[in-house]
Amino acid sequence: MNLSFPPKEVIAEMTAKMLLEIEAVRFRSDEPFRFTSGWASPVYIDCRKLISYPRLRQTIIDFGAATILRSIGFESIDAIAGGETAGIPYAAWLSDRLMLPMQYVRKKPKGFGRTAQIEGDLTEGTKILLVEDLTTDGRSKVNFCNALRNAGVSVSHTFVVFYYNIFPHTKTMLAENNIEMLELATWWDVLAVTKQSNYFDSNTIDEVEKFLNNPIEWSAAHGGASSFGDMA
Amino acid sequence: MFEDLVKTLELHNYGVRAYEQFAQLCYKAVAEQPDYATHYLVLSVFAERFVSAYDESPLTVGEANTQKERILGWIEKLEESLKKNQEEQIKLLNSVSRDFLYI
Repeated sequence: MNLSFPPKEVIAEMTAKMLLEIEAVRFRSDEPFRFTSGWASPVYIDCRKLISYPRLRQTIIDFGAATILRSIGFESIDAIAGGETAGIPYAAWLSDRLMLPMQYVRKKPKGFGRTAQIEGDLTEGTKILLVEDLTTDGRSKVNFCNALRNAGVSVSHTFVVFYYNIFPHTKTMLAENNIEMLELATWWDVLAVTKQSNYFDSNTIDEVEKFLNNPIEWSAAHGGASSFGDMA
Repeated sequence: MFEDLVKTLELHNYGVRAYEQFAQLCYKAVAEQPDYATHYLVLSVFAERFVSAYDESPLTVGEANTQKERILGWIEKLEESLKKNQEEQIKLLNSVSRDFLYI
């Protein structure tokens, strides 16, 4: 393993640049997207596109490994678990890079028993790092962690390439479930890079900034959820 | 009969989670209202197909609204059909089933 530990800010900016370069970022205010939880949004990101770019994904995995080792430690996790579906390739590459066993967690149980949601060998009591491509509001992380914990393992951290970082309750909810999240970049990093470049016109960037600053108001005005209570 | 299903979709703003909850309510109703099991099963199929189609893919507000009108339209027709004879109900269930294959 040959790792360097660039500053967090450099990792965030480079990750944002890479996502923009491969057009994984979509800004669209005329016909917004609707998130899983019902929020209307002018932004969408497809981190799965990274899997098709070996040089980029290798860098992302380098950043991921550095972030994990710097934040959690070298010997603090025993295995990596990917969340179905998009978390699986990232978990595979990270487990390879960190020389750790890997499992993956299904969204729904298949079959019966405590490990019906888990694929791969799982030793009770091991410390697992959950890996996914991104976090929007954090709910899938809680579901995956619960599935792993029900199977008898310990999960205290999750790693994602991208975190929306626009819903204030996300990190609180994760903390309430004893999950700490590590991420490489957020929408704020993408916004900062787009302002310095010509990926999008200024009107689009203004609209995206309005959304990022007040996602509730923007969503309500565009036919989406209007409060966190709507997501209960 | 389907008010709770519609409320769930509204509460969760017709996103993927709304349809996940919708499907769960349908499964529960199949057990609790066996005389209308087929109605609920058919509705659950639509919800499952919606979740499968959009769970990890971008869903635009326009497409969400199209699917919303579609499911609400069929729910209204199913509700009306309950006042008719069984033959009419089966005819409608067949139409809904055919339509739900395409999402």
